[in-house]
Amino acid sequence: MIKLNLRLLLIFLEIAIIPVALISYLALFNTKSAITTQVLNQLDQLAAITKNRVRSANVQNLELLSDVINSASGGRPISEFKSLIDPESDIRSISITDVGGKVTSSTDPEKVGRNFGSEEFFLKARVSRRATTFLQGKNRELLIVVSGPITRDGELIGVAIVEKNGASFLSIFNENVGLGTSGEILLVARDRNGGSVYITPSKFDQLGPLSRSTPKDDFSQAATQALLGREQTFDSSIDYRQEKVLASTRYIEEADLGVIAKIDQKEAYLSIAKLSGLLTIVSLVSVSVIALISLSAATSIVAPIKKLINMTNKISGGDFSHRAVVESRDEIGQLELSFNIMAMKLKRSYEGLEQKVRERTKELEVSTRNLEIANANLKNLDKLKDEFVSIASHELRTPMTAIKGMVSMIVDGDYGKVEKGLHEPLADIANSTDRLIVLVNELLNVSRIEAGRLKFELSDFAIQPVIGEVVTSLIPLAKGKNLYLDFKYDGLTFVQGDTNKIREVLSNLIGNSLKFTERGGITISLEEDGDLLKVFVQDTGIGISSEDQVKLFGKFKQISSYQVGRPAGSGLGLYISRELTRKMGGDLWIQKSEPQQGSTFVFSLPLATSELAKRLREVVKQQSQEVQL
Amino acid sequence: MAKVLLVEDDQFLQKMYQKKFQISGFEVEIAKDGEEGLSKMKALKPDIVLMDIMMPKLNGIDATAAAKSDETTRNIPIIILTNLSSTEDAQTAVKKGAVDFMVKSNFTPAQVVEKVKQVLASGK
Repeated sequence: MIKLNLRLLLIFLEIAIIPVALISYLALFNTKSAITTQVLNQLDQLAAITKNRVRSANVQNLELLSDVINSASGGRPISEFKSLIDPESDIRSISITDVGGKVTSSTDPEKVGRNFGSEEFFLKARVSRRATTFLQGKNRELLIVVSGPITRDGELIGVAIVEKNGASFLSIFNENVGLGTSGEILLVARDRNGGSVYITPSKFDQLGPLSRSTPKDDFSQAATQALLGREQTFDSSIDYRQEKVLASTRYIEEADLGVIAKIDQKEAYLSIAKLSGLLTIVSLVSVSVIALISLSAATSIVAPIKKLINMTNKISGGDFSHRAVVESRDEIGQLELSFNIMAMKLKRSYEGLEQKVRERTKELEVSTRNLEIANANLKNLDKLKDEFVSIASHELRTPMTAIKGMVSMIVDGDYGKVEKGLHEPLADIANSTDRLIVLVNELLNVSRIEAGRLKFELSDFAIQPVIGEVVTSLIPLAKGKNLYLDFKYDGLTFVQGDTNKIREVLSNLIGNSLKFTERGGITISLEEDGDLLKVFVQDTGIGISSEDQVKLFGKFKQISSYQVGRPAGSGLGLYISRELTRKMGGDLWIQKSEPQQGSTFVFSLPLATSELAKRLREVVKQQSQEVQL
Repeated sequence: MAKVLLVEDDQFLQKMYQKKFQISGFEVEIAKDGEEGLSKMKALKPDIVLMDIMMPKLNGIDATAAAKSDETTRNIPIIILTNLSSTEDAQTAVKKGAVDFMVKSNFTPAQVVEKVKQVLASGK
């Protein structure tokens, strides 16, 4: 959570800083490009001027050579040029060789008789028949050699050679006006390998001239570009120190020389660095000023809000008498006013509320007490009802036991011989009494199930012997109706449940089937399904229509077809059986039944090893603990 | 001739069971409540006792417990014959030492006689 005044401050700063940054960037960018253009123009002019100077110097040399050649071809002696050679002049010597390169005459007597036959300036003049300028280094000094062929009637008769000191030629390059401390103008020639070699001395490399070379494929160097014939400006080139420079190049074709005017980027852009520093300071100052103004603005907005927060805190703490001091008529002032009104209303309604709460609490206490009494009465009633059902069923059973027992004894002949005509009514009495007993038992069961007082003794046991017992006990009944009662199994399946309850369910299902089957019989089978074991009771009896199936599991529900001339039960059996299986974690349902096609009832029980069984055991354990409590 | 002591407060049932046991060849003694049942067990030394539960003075479960804690009556087998049908009652009775538990309304007198014969035959 950022506090409101900090958030306002940040917003103001964003608004202020973005234009400042933008303007600074644009100013710097424009200045830089303007400076670049200006410096490059200046360099370009210097390069162009220098090129012209070099060319005119060369033209002078070539003119002198031309004079010498004309004189020599006219057969005049070389001595007529002797006057040109004096300590003030650059000209060192003028010589003439024969066709083989041997010096035949010279202004320098020492040179006469020497052979220049293998020198480049001689060979070039002889072979190409053209006047050529050579720049040579000797003892770290520049020597300019101009040579040209002497012909008579189109036939080569010798070579003229003029040697000049390079010192005054080099002075062309000393005029680094307007090039600052790092700027300079350089002359480069082609070396033997096709690369470039510096002729002029440079500020940063006194030993460089005539010895330092740049490979011909190093195109990042302005020297290489110049010798490629490029006459242009470079805003980002590098020089022999690998330093970034602004540069302009020129190429002098007739002498195969390159001119470079250059200045370090650092120096050229020095003013920009200064400007950027200045802009930074201006930006920082303006940002700080804006920050201060923003802070005070944020504070002036937030302060009344803080006051309101304090006030609401006091009100929420229960002090309704607190009021805000309204200082302005703006939105905040209106807010303060509304707060005061709200606090006033709150105070009033709170006072009313406290009174109401007291009254309601009293009412609530009374009704709670009444409820407690009613609840206790209800619990008592429930217990009484349970006891009543239990005792009533006991008391009902006693006379029924007497009726049932005595009728059976009469039938057995214990009271003397029974007349034939009495057998049927006696059997009917026995039957009706049995039904009454079943009814009483089931009523008691329903009452217990619904009160949750039925106790289950869960244990793991094999189901097959239990089914076997029930089947065996019912076989006499089946035989009496000429029905088969089949239960075939191999192996044992362990389930979890209350054996007595399971016997009850089985007896009920098989009993029902026996009751409603006249032909065929009943088959019992088993099937495992996940956590459950399913027990199928299939008969060939009258079947049940789908409408009646819905009613079947209701309490006291007997379906219509049962009631016509059929032995009828209490109608509670299936309800109880299903409740019992459900309480043990299984269920009971009709698998299939159609009128006249027989019925299949199924109930399921959890397998002893299943997770379901484990959970049930825990639930039953908890419930029994609750009952004990 | 085996001697059966029938501890039963309902006079119709007394008559009925007495008749059936006599016909079946037993000597029958009757007690109408738990206390009388206990004293007759000591005095008459029956071979087997049929004990009701809900009776005046002393109920059948307490009577069974008392009989089982007395040297002279400890070895007489007691079958609980009642119309209380909860399994809890049955378990309590068996815990106190009864050999079996029968819900009266579920059995005919002939079946009760059968059960008594079975228990006597098994030598308990």
